[in-house]
Amino acid sequence: MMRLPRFEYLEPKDVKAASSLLAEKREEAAIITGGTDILVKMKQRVVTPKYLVNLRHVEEMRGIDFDEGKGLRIGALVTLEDLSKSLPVKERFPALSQAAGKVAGPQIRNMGTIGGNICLDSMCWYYNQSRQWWKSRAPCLKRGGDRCYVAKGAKECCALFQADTPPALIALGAMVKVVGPAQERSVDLEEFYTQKGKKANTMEATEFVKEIHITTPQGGSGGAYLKFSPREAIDFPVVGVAAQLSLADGKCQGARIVFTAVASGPVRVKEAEEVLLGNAITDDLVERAAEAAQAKIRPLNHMGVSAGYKRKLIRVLVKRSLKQAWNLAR
Amino acid sequence: MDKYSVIGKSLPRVDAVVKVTGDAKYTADMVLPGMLHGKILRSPHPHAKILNIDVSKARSLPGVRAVITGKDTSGKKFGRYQDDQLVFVDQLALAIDKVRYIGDEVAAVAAIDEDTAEEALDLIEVEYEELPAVFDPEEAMKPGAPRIHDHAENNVGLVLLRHFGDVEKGFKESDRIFEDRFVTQGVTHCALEPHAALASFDSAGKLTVWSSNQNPFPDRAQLARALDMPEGRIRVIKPHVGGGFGGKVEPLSHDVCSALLSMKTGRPVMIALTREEVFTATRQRHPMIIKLKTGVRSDGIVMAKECTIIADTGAYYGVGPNVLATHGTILTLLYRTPNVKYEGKLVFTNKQVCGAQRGYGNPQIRFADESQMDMIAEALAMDPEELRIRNAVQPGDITPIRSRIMSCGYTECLQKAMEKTGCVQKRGKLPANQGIGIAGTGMSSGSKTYDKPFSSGALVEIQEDGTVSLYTGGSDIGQGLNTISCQITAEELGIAIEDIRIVVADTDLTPWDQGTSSSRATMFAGNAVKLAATDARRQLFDAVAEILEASPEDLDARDRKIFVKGSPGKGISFADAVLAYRSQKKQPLLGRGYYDPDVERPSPEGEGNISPSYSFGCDVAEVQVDTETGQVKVSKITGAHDCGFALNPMAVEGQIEGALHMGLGYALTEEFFREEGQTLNPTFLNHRILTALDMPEIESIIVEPVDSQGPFGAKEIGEGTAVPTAPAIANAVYDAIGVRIQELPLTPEKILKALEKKGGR
Repeated sequence: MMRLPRFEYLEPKDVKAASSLLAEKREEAAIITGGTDILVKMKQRVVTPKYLVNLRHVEEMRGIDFDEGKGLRIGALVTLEDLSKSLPVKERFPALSQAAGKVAGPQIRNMGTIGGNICLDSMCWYYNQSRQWWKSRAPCLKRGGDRCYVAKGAKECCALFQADTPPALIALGAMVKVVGPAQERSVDLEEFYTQKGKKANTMEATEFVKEIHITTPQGGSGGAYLKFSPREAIDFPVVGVAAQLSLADGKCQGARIVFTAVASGPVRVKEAEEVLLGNAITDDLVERAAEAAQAKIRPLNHMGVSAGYKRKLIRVLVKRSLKQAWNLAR
Repeated sequence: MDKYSVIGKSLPRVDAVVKVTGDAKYTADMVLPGMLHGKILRSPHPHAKILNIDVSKARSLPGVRAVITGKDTSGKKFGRYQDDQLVFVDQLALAIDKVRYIGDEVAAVAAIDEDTAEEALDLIEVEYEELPAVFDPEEAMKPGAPRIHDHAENNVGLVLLRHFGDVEKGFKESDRIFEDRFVTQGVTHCALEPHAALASFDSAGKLTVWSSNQNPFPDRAQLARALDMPEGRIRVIKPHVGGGFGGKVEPLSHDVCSALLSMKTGRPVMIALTREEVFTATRQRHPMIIKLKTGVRSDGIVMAKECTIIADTGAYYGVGPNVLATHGTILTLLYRTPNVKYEGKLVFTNKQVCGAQRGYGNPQIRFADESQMDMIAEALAMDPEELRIRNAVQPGDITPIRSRIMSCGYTECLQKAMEKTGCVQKRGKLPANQGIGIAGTGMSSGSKTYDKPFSSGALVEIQEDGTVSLYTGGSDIGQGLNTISCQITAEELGIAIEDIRIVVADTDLTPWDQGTSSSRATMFAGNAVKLAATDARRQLFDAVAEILEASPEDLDARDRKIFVKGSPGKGISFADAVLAYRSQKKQPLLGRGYYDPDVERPSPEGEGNISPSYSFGCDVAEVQVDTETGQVKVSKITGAHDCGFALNPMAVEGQIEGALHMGLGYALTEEFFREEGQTLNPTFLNHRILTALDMPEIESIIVEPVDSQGPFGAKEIGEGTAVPTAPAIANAVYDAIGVRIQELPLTPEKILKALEKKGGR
């Protein structure tokens, strides 16, 4: 078995304590909640934090609260399994429930948290390899080298972002509460990501996600998350797409189409959304939106899958997710 | 009353409780006083000369007890070959002057804990001169390609040419000739337990090795060869093993290095491989390029087959030459083929070494042959089942390579699968994008590839309380051999399975056994156990015959009683019978069994009956294809498999289900991705064995043509069983959407591409 490197384990009991610990340890610290990602990376020596700060016992970061008026609050520590099974989430935010339920497998969903999933770094089949593995090649950009193996010749790291829940959350307009040493700030999840392979999100080392807020979708709304992967469980998506629609008077009032696993961050395709906005939805319109998404996205390379094939998937998945969302909305 | 009281019953395995509670100890669970932990330094280069190795810094790291390199080894190579095949013995425990793939072993460290050992690896300074490398077997054969071994020109390690009958004549007599090319990928076994070895060398010069392996006795011989010491001073013990599937049939460098490090330090040394090491530096299934030419008459009768195989063996021979040698059997076992010619080339590349994996060449060749059978059937406007039945081998056949077909349930398997699934009626008539497909399989029950006895031994000792100690060299690696061995013994002695203690696979304690490979365990170890139990029973009957006033031949044993046949009331208890034996003979009651059947190592021309018997079977796959994404969903698999007599039907079903799981992954998702010889997916995350959610409904049909050679008529199950799944799915995909994929795995991208090509899009 691969061994964990040495680290010091810290266990703050509230947000304040967590925040001051992170302010003190800064880049030397890493956060653990479920541990399904960080421990693997530590065993591979992808990261070797001196301190591991476990937020699992911070009471304020727990729980799912739903109120028709106030919307949905999800504590960052809520497990993906609990989130996927929550009744209000299933009923009112189906895209999110589906996305959470499609992460990896049951064991990982029982440990892994929503906070961890939105903070998941890109998952690269070069970068995310063991120290032993890396002895066979020159370091990539993300490891401080001068090249990217995903996109040969690229000047920037092109690691692929593959988390499942961010597209659903962005499609739902989620806001995240980020706690820093001085203040709490509320960030639109759409703005939370850097779109850079080197580091997926905009948080400082001293910050962490406390909770997520989503306003309740308007009456005639529906959403879906579709994930294409070789197997029914375990895999990261080859392509994942969340679609969220709201209808009023038979016309599309709101539309969001957001992808994962096509670029170095979640990708919202406004060009495809605009096809729908203000129009009565028809099969033909859905097809046009799907084509617009396909035309817009130039997916990154993927291990064992060509970019050309991923573009075909994009069209199919947009079409199917929109139809599901549409069925729920009308 | 049932004919049998213990066999033929779905009894739980004898090791079920200790396994589900975690009490069962696997090699890596073991701890010995003073035990050190070993780690292996591996080559980061696919091909390089070793100019110098400096271990001084590693040696001086506190906690390090020994560091060894190729210079500290005997320099003797090892490999599973006998003395007339020494050319294939090409593995060193640690490289001396050259490394040939990323993962090749260069040095090893023993330290007080794993962390220190790992730290020490970083302190070993190896100076390499990188050499040009080659990764594709067809490229490797081109003139001017980098040469991997001095002895292998154009990197061709072996060319096997075989010709039985006259294919030219056969093709002349054919009405139609089909020529197709098929390609298969590299996959690995995915045994849940990673390889591990614990070695302890004592002050008297005795070496004991606990190893997660399939064949302790042959491993002992290989260790003796690699360590240059007499076999008699080595003891190999196989503890519980968490799966082998062929991946543990050969001793590997870590077995030898743990021994060398223990010799050097005088302390026990454990080397447990990481999953990444298992996936990159143990063994994988040979990727093959197969060209298959088949001539048939218009009535479907096969007249000739010609097959050309390029097998990519990776950096060393492994068991590649033997895998190639079995192709004669594979090509002629299932269908009567009077004229067969094949050319097998084993080609070196700078990649992970290939070896045995559940089928030994069979999955690759059957994918080609069973796909082509369907192509032929379509061209002849014949049902694929009918084509198979017309050509199927039958009991009593002797094939062109002299395989003697004893029991053979192939036709019955096909018929039962047809009845159960209605495949003939469904083909071509299912709703859009749904399809059904069939494919067959045949497998030896043990395949002799050496001159040495290809045998198994067992001892049965009946103790005075009427319980029994069974000593068998057979290796249970998770498949359930211990359970059926106990069932056979209990049946033969007329006692309960609980009355038996089983001592297994320990070269100091148990009789010789060739091990668990080539699907020999039930046939060989099972027969040896049965012979030993029969021998013990005979002695017991002799002792009590007088008491029961009957001749020994008229006695029977059942329900812990020995009685006169037909009069169960007239008898004595088993325990009393044992006491009677003791007082008469004043000797331990020991039954001996040795099974060494009349089978042949193939002649230089490739002829020979390598196995006492052969098993057959087929799978029927039902699939649905998403024509927009190309994804295949398998909704149901019906497996009809001939296992002779099912000693434990539940275990047989388990073998069928497990085999289907491996076959499905091979068909759909499993594949190594490599770049410049480096494996990009050395993890369960991306070497995609299927999950519970991906598994289709499974229906197992056990076909039981009782075999004259096997113990109570039993023979192979579980290896050949993994073979027909991939071609059955490929044939079902063709039925569903009219595209034929001739390259495994059947990925969505390949299917979509083929659909687009077909639609002219």
